[in-house]
Amino acid sequence: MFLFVLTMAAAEVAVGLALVLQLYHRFKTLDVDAARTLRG
Amino acid sequence: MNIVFYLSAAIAIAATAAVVTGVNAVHSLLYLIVSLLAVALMFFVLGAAFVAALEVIVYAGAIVVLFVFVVMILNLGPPAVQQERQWLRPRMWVGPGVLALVLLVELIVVLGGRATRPAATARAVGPEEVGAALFSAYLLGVELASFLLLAGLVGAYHLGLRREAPSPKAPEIVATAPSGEEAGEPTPAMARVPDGGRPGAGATAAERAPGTTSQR
Repeated sequence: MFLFVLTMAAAEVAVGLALVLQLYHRFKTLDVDAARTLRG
Repeated sequence: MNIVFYLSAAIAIAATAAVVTGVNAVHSLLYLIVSLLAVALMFFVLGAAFVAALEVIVYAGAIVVLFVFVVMILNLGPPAVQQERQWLRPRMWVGPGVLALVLLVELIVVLGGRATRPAATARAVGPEEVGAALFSAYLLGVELASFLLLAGLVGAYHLGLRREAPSPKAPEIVATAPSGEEAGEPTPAMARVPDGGRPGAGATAAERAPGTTSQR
């Protein structure tokens, strides 16, 4: 059971950190409020 | 043996509190490592030595290292510390904190109401038994976990692509991609956008400009 939790945590951390990097690359800040409007 | 369990539990809680309230990202990660080591010790006390070793190797040794890599790549510095201090003012967390405290009291009341308490030391489970269980009873779970890891790998690769990176696919094929394509898709749309460095100029420009479908 813990092995599955560990696996899920690893996959989640990988995807989440990729999202964080993409956010920083686009908005040059980690403030999520910078991403509050949709385009157009 | 109970004192070891309770002491490491207290260390885990204190270290996690330091992770949450810290303003410096690297300091928080170091406290996270301490918290994970305390949890691994608790696993060891409960008889799961293999799980304790896995926790240290995988969680503290790979996942937290991934965190450290990303924090070092971002390289935020003192302005980020000032921003975190501003965000961690009491005005920000008092509301949710009070509600969570009520939930914690409820949890303690519910869990404390159960009379049965298990023995302090459980049966020791070794790697051979874990392996046998994974290959027999939990085989489906292992396959699903590998699906999840593959999806995470592909997703992290795709999300980690930079705009300036060359596209792995031929441009003629990608220009006819359905409009459901995520905005992280690199260069094929950039070939038609003069200022490719502008954020958000990527795939949405390809969707907005009908001229890109002439590539068909």
